[in-house]
Amino acid sequence: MRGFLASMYIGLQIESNWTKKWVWLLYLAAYPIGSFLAVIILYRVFGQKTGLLPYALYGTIFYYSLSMVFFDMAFSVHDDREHYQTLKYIFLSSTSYRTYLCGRAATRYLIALAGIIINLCWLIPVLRLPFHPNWGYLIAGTILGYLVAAGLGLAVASVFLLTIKLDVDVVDALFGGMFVLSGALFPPTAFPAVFAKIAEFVPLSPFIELMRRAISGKILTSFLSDMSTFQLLGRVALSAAVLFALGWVLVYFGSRQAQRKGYIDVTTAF
Amino acid sequence: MHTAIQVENLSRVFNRRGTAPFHALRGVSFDVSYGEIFGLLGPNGAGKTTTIKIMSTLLLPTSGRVTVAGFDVEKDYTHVRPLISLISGGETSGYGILTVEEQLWMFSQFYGMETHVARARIEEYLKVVSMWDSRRQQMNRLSTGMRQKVNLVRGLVTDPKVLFLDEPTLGVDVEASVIIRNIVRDWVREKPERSVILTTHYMAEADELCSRVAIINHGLILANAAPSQLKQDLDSRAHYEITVDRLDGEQLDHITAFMGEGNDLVLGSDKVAKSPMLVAHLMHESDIARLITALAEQGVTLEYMRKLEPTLEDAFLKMVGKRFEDEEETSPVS
Repeated sequence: MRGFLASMYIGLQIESNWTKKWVWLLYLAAYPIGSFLAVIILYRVFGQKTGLLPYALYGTIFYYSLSMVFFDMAFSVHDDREHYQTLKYIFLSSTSYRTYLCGRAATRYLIALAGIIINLCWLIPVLRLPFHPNWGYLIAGTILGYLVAAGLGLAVASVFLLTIKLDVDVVDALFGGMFVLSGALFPPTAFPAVFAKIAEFVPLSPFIELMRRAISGKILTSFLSDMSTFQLLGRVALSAAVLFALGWVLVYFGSRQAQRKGYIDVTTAF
Repeated sequence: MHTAIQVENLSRVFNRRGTAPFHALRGVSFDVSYGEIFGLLGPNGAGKTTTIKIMSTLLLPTSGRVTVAGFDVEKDYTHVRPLISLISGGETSGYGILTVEEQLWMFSQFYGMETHVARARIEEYLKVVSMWDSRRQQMNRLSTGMRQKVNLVRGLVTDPKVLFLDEPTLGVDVEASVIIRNIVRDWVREKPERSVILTTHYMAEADELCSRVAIINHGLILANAAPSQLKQDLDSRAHYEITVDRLDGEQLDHITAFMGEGNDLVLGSDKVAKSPMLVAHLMHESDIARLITALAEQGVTLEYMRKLEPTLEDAFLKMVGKRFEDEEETSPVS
């Protein structure tokens, strides 16, 4: 537990210690606005008649909370290994590297949530977004969302433990692909039937839809509308458990393989 | 249980795309007792760091076995890690945005230490390395020597049983090197269940600190003994350098004949004093008295005399056939 909290602490320091606290809070609020504004402009200007703005905006917001985690996890492997040169010291400490990564993921998730909450405070009234929260589902979804994000993050980290060069293109492709397929930006029902079916099984889809319903109090499109919110929660719990277990196992094998290859402390000056 | 570390027939091969496999270690074996500072001495690319990485669970061996405190580093690494610490030199590791104190506290937490215990130890060791006043300074504002001191404190704060020091004084100034060496020596003396494995390519450092030294080159252990033993094995003769006021060839012949077979005398000149200098390689330590008598009988006055002690560098030269620096130039870095 001490190791988990210490890794949360270092995560927070890395994120926030570069400036004064108030500037960081401002940054926290401003950072995601770019993504949100893109969606607002897209649906206000070009898609006004579709009425999909709440769907797309809530989807983007909750996708952001997950993507920030797995994006950050890839960088944390490389940062700790190359930039700070601390990976080897963390790796051979009593705290398991998986626990460390989970701590880093927790901080990133909480920071993303803080940014979301700050932005929802003005987005909901200004855009008159539907807001009838079911706090139970919202809290359960938020907790499960962490497991989904950490699971994906662990999986990404396991890959980056085995790559010497930080290939951001891979993360970008994953980030972009999931954004489209998870139905965050527009309902996958607009896809050809095959892709729409695939989208239903993308592990992020049920989480995003659950959070949409939990905050808006409505089923906003026909995507996953055949499932009740409770069923969705069950599906999110299942995907969270599977993803987290998968990530946990992958980091174990990734670490062993990195030990075998001598990648734990490799520095390349990239 | 007296063995802190046991290394048995350790081999490590690095397979690199497009090049022949590189054999970093070829059947290395040694053991380290509790209370010992054991040195691994060799040029760059000799296999020192590879050995230490395997012992500290950072790297898996290709074959062979290593145990730390009786635990297999490959299979029981979760038991090994709480018992060890690694300190590498020549790097600028650490979170630059953290203060010295934060950085050390954070690592203590990775070892599950209670905060008040950790803070007390951090204070103790920061005072030992004369960095208590810099505790609130950010890591990225520290000099290389200061960073290395913090790195040392990080390794000691968790009170490991086995401390791996990989070139701990690399790139730091003389003063910091002396402090680091003193701390390491005192740290081992403090508790009998502690031991240190030191890799260095500074011969004098190994000579000063280590109770035993293994000379490693091209992944092979060439010798494993106390530094004094290695030097003694090198040459049983006694060597002296004697600066005199005058000495010609005829006088030297007389003295050489007097000293008898097996004692070699070489006449040169002292580059500083510009006086004749005699280098004497004597069969026995006691022959020096006879030599001084012989010089006096020839009317020669002694200006300066010193005994030439063999160094670990000489031991390396004898074993490898090349000087340390020359070997470094030809070795691939592992």
